[in-house]
Amino acid sequence: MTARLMRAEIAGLLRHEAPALLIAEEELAEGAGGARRFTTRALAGWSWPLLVDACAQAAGLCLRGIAVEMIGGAVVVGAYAGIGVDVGLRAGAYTISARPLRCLAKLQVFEFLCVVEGAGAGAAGWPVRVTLTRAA
Amino acid sequence: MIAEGNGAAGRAVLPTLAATLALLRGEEAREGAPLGARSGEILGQVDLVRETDRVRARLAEATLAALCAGHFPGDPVVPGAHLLGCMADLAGWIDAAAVVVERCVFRALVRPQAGVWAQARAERGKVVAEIVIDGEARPAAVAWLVRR
Repeated sequence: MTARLMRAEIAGLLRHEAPALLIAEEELAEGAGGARRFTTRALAGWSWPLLVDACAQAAGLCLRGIAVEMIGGAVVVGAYAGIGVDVGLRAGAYTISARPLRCLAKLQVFEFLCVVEGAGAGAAGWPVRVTLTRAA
Repeated sequence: MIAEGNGAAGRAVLPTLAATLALLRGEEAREGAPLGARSGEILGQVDLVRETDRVRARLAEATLAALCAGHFPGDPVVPGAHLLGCMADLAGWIDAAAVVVERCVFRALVRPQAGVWAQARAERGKVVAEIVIDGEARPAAVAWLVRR
């Protein structure tokens, strides 16, 4: 179990600041299948790309826990998949659970499934697949 | 609204882009960042060209810079999610029912600069949307959108 990440540490790991820093803190409770759970900042509203970016940030924080060799490297989003953009989002905070789907360490390719929970995200949550890799 | 026809050009507002910019602007104001001179600005407005088989929108450098606010300060890279938002907006001009991003791949970092375009076309039952940069042979990003 990786130590819970707090806001200041999250900002440093992601190298983001407001308004781009979208993850507020990590929750203590693990999600299903060992997923790590994060709470977003409470925004006055969300567009779906902002929430997709929040998923990428959650995946990036997970990556630091499973791929030590990526720490300090310039990690970038290589791909997104499986996103329904007709989602109706609300103001406030969302919870994102993130777990790895594929870890190709030699290729430095890591795919995560992020599920967003909260108002408008649907009963089963709003899924976003994020692939992270090292910047060329 | 723009005129129809090959090469018809005009201005249009990309709705997802406009919403994202408005939210980022609101968060900046809440954090006490200076808003700067933006009178008369229409958020999400782009130069749009509608051709026979595709639609293209030029993304202004200032718009791309606004999307980078707080994102790797000092080394701005346009977040892929926001590029995807622009691509999905363009895809909506081709098929408004194509609301599922089957996959979107990023091949190169996009920085705020002149000559960045989002474009979309229909291809084999899907909408293919791309981010292209003037002078670059390969798109910086490609997305495939489908109906539910």
